[in-house]
Amino acid sequence: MKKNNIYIILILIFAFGTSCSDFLEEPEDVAGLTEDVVFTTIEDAEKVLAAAYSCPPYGFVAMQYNAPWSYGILNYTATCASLCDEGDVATQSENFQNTRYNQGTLSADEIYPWTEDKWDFNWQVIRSGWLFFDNVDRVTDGTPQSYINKRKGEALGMIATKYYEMFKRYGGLPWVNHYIRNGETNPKTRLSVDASVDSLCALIDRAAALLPDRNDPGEFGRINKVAMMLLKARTLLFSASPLFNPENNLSYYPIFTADSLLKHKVYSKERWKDAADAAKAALDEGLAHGYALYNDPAKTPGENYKLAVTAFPEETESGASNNKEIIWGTRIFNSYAEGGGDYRIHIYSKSHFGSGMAYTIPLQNLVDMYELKDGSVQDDNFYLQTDPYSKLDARFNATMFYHNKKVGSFTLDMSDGGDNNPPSNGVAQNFTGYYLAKFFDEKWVVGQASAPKSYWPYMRFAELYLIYAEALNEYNYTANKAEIFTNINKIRTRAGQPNIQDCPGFLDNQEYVRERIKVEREIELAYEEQRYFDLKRWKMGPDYIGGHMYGIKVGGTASDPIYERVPFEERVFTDKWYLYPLKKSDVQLCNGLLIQNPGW
Amino acid sequence: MKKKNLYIISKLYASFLILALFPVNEIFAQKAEVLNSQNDSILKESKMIDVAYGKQSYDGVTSSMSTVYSKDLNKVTAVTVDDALIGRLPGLTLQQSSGEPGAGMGIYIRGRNTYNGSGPLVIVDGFRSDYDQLSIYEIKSISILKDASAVALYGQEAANGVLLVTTKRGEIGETKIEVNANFGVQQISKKPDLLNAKDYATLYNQARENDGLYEKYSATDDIPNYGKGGVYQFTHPDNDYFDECMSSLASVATAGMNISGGSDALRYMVTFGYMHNGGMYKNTDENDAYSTQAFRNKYNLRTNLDVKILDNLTAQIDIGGYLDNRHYPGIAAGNILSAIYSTPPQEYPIINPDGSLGGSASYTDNPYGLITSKGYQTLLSRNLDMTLHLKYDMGNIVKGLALGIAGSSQNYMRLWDNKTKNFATYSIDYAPDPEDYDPSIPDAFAYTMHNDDTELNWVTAAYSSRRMNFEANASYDRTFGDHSFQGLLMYHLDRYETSDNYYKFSNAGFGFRGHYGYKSKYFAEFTAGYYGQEQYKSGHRFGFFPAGAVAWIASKEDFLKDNNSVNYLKLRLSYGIAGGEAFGGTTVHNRIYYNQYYSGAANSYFGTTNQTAYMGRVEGIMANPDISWDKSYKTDLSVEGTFFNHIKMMFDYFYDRRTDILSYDNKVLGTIGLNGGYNNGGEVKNKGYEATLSFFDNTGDFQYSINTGIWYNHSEIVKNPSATIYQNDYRSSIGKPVGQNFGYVTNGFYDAASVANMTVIPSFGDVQEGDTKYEDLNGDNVINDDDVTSLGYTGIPEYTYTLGLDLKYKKISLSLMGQGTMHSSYMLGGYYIPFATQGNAFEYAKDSWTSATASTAKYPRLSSVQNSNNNQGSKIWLLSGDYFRLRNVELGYDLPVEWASSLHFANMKVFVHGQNLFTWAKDIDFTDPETLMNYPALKSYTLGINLSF
Repeated sequence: MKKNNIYIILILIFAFGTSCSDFLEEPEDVAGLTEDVVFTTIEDAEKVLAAAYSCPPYGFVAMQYNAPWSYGILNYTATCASLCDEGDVATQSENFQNTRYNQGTLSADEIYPWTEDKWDFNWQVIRSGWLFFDNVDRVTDGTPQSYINKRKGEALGMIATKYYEMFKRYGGLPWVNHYIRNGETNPKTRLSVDASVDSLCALIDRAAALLPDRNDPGEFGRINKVAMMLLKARTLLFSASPLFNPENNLSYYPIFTADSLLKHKVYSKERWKDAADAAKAALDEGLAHGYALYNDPAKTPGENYKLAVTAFPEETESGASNNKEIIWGTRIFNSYAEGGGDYRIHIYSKSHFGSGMAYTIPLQNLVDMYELKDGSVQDDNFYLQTDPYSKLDARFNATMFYHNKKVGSFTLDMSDGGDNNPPSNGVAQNFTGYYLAKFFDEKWVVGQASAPKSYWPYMRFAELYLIYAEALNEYNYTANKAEIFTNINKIRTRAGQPNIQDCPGFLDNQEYVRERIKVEREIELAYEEQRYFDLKRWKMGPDYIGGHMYGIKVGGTASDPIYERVPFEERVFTDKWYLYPLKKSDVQLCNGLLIQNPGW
Repeated sequence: MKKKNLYIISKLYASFLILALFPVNEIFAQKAEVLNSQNDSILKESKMIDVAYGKQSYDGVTSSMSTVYSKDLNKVTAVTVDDALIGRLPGLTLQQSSGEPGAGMGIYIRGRNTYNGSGPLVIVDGFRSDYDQLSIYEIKSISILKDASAVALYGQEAANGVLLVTTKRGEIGETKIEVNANFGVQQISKKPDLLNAKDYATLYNQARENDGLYEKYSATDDIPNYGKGGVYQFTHPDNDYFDECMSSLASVATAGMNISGGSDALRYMVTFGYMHNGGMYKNTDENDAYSTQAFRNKYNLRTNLDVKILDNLTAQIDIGGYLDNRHYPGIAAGNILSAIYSTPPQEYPIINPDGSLGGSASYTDNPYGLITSKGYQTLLSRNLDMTLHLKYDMGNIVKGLALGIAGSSQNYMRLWDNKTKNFATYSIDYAPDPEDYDPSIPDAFAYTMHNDDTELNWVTAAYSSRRMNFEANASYDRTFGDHSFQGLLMYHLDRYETSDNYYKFSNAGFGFRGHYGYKSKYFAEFTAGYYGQEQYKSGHRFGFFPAGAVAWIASKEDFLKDNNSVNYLKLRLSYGIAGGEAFGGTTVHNRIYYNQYYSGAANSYFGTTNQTAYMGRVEGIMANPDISWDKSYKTDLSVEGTFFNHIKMMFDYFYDRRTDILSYDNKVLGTIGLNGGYNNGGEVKNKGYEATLSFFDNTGDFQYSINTGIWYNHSEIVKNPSATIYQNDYRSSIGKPVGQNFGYVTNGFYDAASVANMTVIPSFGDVQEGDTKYEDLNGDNVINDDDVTSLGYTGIPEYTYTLGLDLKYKKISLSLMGQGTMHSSYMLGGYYIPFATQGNAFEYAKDSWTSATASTAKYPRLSSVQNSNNNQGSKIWLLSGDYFRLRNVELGYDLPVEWASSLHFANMKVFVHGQNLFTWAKDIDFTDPETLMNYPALKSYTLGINLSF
């Protein structure tokens, strides 16, 4: 019996041992989620995709410190427009980096973390996108494959969009083509420009094949097939442009040895054809599926132009719009958030604001580019005449707030000491004589009604005509001029401008048409985050990103103002700025594998 | 009556006779025991020592440990157990940062060997527990287990050392009752040297002048009027907030009653403990229904039973519990003290002429109001521990074998009851001529209100925790001739759950110890733990922690046996691996990382009319399925002995290499698209020693011993993945001790010439005469973060030393114990920099630079605005934390036995205790060197009595 006791106890001890591991289990819900749990239902799985969408391309500056949204480039209140001859930021402070940017003295250290490009967030989107794409097929709730495929296309689309946005800024980058699991090494070496364009186009094609041409009702803000085709056209246009495809085959920084990161290996004019073909394909696909320029015959050209970037593509609560021009618009807020951190557009008004606020202010350099209504360009004496602004292209009135313009019940007074001319004491204010009107809802004036809902017009149909025209002109002007004129005139006609061939001073040659297309592109796409990158791909940095900037000074009397074009500031552009610096700590951590862009 | 006295006297004579007949060395041993049990190796030869999960003979102990017994613990009026441990255990460093009732101390065994949590594992009677809630009177002994051999059985959480507490148990015999009572008063150990109103105003004006600002306090109309009385007590007060808020005396009492005894079948020990710790706040009875004083009352009750159920089956049944009631003003001590230190002395009258509380727009926290008018808080803790051990002696089958099982349950509840409110303060304005002041017309003042009076607002928060333990073991203990064997195999489950998080903190595993002795001279031990914890991935949870040790009692060898100069000599060596817990955290994001966590991302918006956001989900920080425990490789070497019958010494050297320290790796590529994760990439080395030396003698009625001890440790971070990488080694935390202070090296102050010719430009803004000049360590002509270097030491002292004296003359005994520390540093910042936070300043502000004192000034020029240059952590603001305190004084008198027995006591002793009676500090002389700006450290005077019958 006593021996039995020993056995019993020994058996017990043995049993304890086997129960040890169960004893140490934590319930699954507190021990972290496994992928199986995350991808059980489509509703849960789509949260991963929603995380990718939470960092959409977004041009307005949204002041949300920890959100993956737009911070504005170089400082948190400056939009991309303030980096080139489009504009500046009103408020000046030593904490704002744009002053030093304009002086050309910012270092790679100082650009991070307030970068406009959101390096870390871009890679998070790419990771979230692949996490969703590689795993969503595991959902077991009976979701139809067609639905899953559509969402998979969106995931690829977000990845492609981020790679495109980074390609514009950095050139080739490490290519992540799947969800990187724990223990796997992340690619560290950068793709050449050639490989980047190929990989990106292939990815865009994969996405497009899965996507519908239009979004379902209620899915505005999601990616569709035409958006991907436009993205491809953008990519190829960038790829064909002088920055990455210099005619002399020399990169912008010739002493830099790793030049495959800065340019295509061999110059090829055919790249323009690729871009033209992609634009044409997108145009045809778009037209076949109901996309078009916003052009309501009951409205003026200026109204149509403005509604093209502010009207929603779907019916809204107020019964407005049906804007067919928007291919992809992105939202991060429900509405304008006055005082809630959205620093996109403000008009300074003494009678309405006690102190200065930050806002984007247009530069005279851009105003100078507007044609007169008859298609002629401004001459040196333009501002000596009375009421010069009324003579400009209708798009000027839709884009700018200027002296004596009526906004709702107000008449803007930009003269010295006027209600809308900010004081120069206290918080230092820059002022050029203009405010930005393009995205501003004139029905909404401070203190009146609630803020309207808005979105960022990331892709609109008008851009396709401009890409197509530019690419055709570069590829072969003589053979394609009829097609070029037809396409560029679609934009001009909607704006109420005469056909390009009918403009005073028209010259029947490629150079003249090139210059007009560049101007047309800027006037049409002003403040849509295009100009800064266009100037880079055209390699026009020193004179347009750098160079002399101007404003207008309003003197005289209210009824008889005198306009004077005045220097605003001089900016410095050096070649290193053609591509941004990669995040410095990443370069250091990669021990030479991740090559920094030249000059940084 | 007379008869009884006679009887007692004859008994007394008899005992003297017996004593006289005893061999001299035995008497000596007994006296030595009286004098000092801590270091008495001669005595301990025959004593059984509590080690991990068992007992060993003193000679046979092969591991490194130090023990203090209740006799020494009771020499202290201890409101916490920590109080009684200061200076008593070589290798133990305690840091008191607050004297508030209920405040605990930082506790470190051999300093820090990791930059993560450094607290030791605490074991009470065999199971993980808290020790600081126990009554000092229920504790038999407290040991610290220091080397790998001592802690191996505790598995994965033992790398910081183990604090082992054993409670008292009954012994066979008649019922014995012992009563201890101890009561007295506490005082503030050191009042901080804050400026009075005149000095404050003068120095503040000086600061304003330095800043190029007009003077704030008029030299003619303000400064002479401070503290003048009349209307000036309101318009120009001179407040000593410290004196107004902190009283001179508070009550303190501890008491305990132990009832013990029993037979072979049942032994018992019942302890009742009581502790009262009063608070130092003044004016706490201003409210009708409640007090706002800080105080703590604690009641402990423990019953330890040893029951013989069968001849070979015994049980230990222990039940211990306590009620701990704490009471505080409606706002934390830190806020009250901070208001005392940061309100300028002339800012406002504490009480306005109309009886309302003074205040101003910038200083609304009237310190008096914080104590009297914020309501109160109570913190009620209740705990019940129940333990059952069964031991089955298998001796009749296998001689020496015993089997045991044990279970324990601990249940803790805490209720935090806040009844707080806000109060209004008023600034006053007096327009008329001060000459015309008439105290009977309070309307002469205009009042402006700041803040609002509110009603008491009631908020209650509850917390509970419970711990369940199960243990099964087999032990073997047998001697064959010269050979002795001890073996232990055990199995242990431990689970801890709390009300504030999801996790079950679980430990499980096996322990083994084999101990071999030869001729009671040579000992060898092998110990190993195989333990798992729930925070690692299944399959990676269990670790193996082996340790080996040998000991040699050299004095038992023939060549030393009869040596008169070497009475006792023991050498000891051990090496092994102890485990350190990876995540000590209790929240979702700091406990389990073997699975991937997902968290909410920013929202997305789709559609045009849709106002609801789509919730995103992103991966949290990167999971790491390989996360494991730290490993501490511990080497320990010691020698101890008694020489010339009068000198005892002990020296214990250790070297500890802790690897695989869990660290957050922030150096993760951005291109991964994830934040960093944790890995086991850290390493710290730690080495040091403990040494004690004592001298003892007795000459007739006079006995004494002098005891000294010193312990030292020095750590060095070898690797730390989360450490910032710097170009220069002097800036890096790698290669420096854990917690190293950093700052700028200073080079005097700027004078006019050096301001005019600046070659090295500080990056903190423009400087002027009297600003601190820093060394440009990297020679780039700019003073910035790259010029910061290690300065001084860490915040935890490397050296602790003690000096003790025990005297006994006839029935009078005197015991003194002083303790000090060396090699710690404190970097003054924030409030300590005069006027930097717009508060009052300490007297040392007078040593600031002025053009007249430029050559002798200790501190840079005063400034009334944030002076970024001068406020940088630098050599100027780095103070040594060295101090020495006379910790305990006990003067005792054993009452003549006849007196005692006439009162039916077997024994009676009265004594006075003094604590912290004297403090010396090397640099921190303007306030208490331990508690600084916190609730101050206290000294106490108590009267006590010890009775047994």
